[in-house]
Amino acid sequence: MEKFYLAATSNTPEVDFDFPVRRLLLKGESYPESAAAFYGDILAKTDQFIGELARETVQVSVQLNYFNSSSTKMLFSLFDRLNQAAEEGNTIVLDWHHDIDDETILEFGLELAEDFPSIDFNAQAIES
Amino acid sequence: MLKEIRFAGDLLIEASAITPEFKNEDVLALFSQKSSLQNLPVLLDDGRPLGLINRNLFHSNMTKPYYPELYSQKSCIAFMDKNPLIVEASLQIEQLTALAVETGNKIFTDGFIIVIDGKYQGIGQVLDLMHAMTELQARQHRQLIESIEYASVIQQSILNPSRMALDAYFPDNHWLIWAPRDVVGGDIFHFIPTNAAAKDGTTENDGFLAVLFDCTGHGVPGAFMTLIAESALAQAIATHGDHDPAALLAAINQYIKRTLNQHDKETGTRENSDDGLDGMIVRYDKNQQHLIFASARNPLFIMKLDHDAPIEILAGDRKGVGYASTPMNATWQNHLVPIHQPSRIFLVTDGVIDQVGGVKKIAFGKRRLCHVLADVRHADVPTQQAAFVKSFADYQGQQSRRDDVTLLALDLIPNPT
Repeated sequence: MEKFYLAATSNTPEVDFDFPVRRLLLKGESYPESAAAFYGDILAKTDQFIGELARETVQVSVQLNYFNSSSTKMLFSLFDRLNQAAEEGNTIVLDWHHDIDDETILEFGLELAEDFPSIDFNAQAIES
Repeated sequence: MLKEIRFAGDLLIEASAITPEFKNEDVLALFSQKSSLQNLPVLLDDGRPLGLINRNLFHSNMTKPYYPELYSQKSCIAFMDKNPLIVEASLQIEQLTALAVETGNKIFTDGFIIVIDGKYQGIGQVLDLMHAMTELQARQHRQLIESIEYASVIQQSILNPSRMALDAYFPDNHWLIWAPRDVVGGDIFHFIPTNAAAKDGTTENDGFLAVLFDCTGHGVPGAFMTLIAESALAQAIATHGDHDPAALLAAINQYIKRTLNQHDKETGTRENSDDGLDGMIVRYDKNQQHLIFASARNPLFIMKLDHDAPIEILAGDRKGVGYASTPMNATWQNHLVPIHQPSRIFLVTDGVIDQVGGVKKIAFGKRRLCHVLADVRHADVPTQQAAFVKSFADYQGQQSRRDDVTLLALDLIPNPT
């Protein structure tokens, strides 16, 4: 399956889903006018990708410093899928980056960890 | 006022044209006679344009060695551009602009030829086209803004009764920031005083119901959602009364899901909404000295006024109201909070907490918000409000606003028991 890449814009994150090497990256901010439209493709590709996994390790890196509530829902959908992939015997490692002073992003990450216990969650506090 | 320019024909400049029978020496003469003449269209006998001779290109050719000798007596089509942009007068200027851009650099010097049913009418200039496009965009923008400003009048009139009720109930001990990001928005509040039956059979005030909703999206879609949320709330109160916040959230959930047909699996491939709201409902009972709070993903901040205890933050339930993923029969919890001392509560949307700013470009955050609010704990209302507004604006700095922002601060003074 081919790599899926979208460059960042002022209100959408960089999406670097390097499926061949099992590495997924989201970086930047997410508040598109229509989150469903923006994430539709991303979720569809991820579904396809998960379908092809056979007890493998996927490295997920999330480096977002803002996302609005409709993006939040889409992120939940994404991690719901990855959590299922983990339940099916794959290893999903999630590096959740947050600025060391950004309690808001950290809290959201901890919620994710609680909701999706099969994902190996690592909070990565970034000093800046 | 200038004539509204909508079609290529509106940009028409009459310009004389020649035919292929003209020789290059005739063209040279025409350009010499009239120094303002930049282009000469060449037409077939039936009036269809064949091409365009550009003054500068023509001269640069005719000054090459031996060219005058070789070409003076030849047909003028020798140095003619055979592919000028030719457009029908009825073409809309948006489409004309797209074609002009595709044509490339030469469009700036050559302009375009305007025809009706293929027959030459005259020429158009790019500068005129740019003027027309600028005017068109300004007009469209103005219409959009006027439309949203009118929508804002409607949205504000829905909020007015609550503003008036707040002013009457809390003459000098409440403040409110309601600031949609884009004139209209997805945040709304609702406030009603509540009554209980008194011993003599009449009713008397026993507290209030305060509601803050942050609907999906912002701008126009957010504002649509606030109208649905407002109707849902009114219907829920009519059915369940104004004393049970959790029951109201459950009823609002069902109303939104029904209204947006989120429960309907029969719609096939048609796109159904996955919209809803985060928010909270607070019922304050001054006789019982407590508040009951039910919330969907939205924290409530409570600050004691008689001593300097830290602000308490009550988390909401994690389920959103409405939304395809929330079941029709979803329920929320009522949390009972005793209020025996004078306290100030803050109903805040995530637009405040998540706003990006500061040196690090990270969220404003709950901790910073608590600091700001606690610093002005004993100050009067204008001072409290000004302190928040300044701190938030300073933090946001040059960053754009990310979301709608609402903050409602209410002072609770319990009745003595």
